[in-house]
Amino acid sequence: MTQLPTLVSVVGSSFLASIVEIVEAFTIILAVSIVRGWRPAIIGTAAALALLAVAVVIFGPILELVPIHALQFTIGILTLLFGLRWLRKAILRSIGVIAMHDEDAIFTKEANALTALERQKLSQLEWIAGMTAFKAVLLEGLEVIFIVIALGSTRTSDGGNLIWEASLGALAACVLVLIAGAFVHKPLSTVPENTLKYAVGIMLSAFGVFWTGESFGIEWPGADLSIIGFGLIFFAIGTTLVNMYRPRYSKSAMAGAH
Amino acid sequence: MIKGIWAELVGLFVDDEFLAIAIVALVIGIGVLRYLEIIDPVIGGAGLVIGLPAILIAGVIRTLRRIH
Repeated sequence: MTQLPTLVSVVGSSFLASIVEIVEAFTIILAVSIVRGWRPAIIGTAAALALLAVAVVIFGPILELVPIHALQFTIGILTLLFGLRWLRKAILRSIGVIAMHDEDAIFTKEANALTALERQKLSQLEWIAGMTAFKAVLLEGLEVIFIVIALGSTRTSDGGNLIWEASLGALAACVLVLIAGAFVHKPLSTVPENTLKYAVGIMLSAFGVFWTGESFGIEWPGADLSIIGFGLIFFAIGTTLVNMYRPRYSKSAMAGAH
Repeated sequence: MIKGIWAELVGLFVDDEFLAIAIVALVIGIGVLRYLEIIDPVIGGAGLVIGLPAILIAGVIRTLRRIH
């Protein structure tokens, strides 16, 4: 049996993090398909998904062979690097010192780059468009796989893990973004990406603290529930930093605009 | 192309060098001290719970100062 808060944390964090990644990949696939048609977009996407599937099939069973403490340590430290990086950037964006992630701008940039190449009448344009979609899906897909592994490695009381539950969260995000994208047929710029990254950065950092501690033989009070406590600590720090610095930095940004 | 993908992969984990080095140094430091049994688990846990948020705060403030 798994405690409900842990299950909700794992599935919810996997879902939210995957939405962010899939929206980013979707924006580039859409730019490729609008400029060069669906063919290179579909071929690039399918090739990347095939490569990701091969990676999961090869590396999945290897993970089972790694001693639990080594796995917890490796995943813990990578999750901390990944989660605290997202959280730091989300805090800086909320303060107003770095620009928000803009799907419309990314879409325009990718579309313009492909249109410029089209004007040069390059013979390998189809190839370049396909590779653009391939690279976007591969990188964002790797991030999704990493997040699923990091969150799904949570041990259940019967010695199992929550990889399937985390995968379901990611799959639900994929289905949701594809349905929304099919209806909207333009970049999903209304997705509150910074808020999602903020929330997921907090959860990944909390999981990272938990894993690294477990790998050192630390028995956290409340076991899995301590993850929620760590999340609250990171949330409090982020909120305090944003409230402290946003007035000062948004004022200087406005002054700079005049 | 492969070089670009590799650089972006590394970038997933390492963006701000200070943040990355500080996290790795703290975790490995506590790991070594725990392995040698110089500190007990409670101190190790406290080190992570206090140290990692402190690194986040330092990383944000450092960036704000640099931008300012």
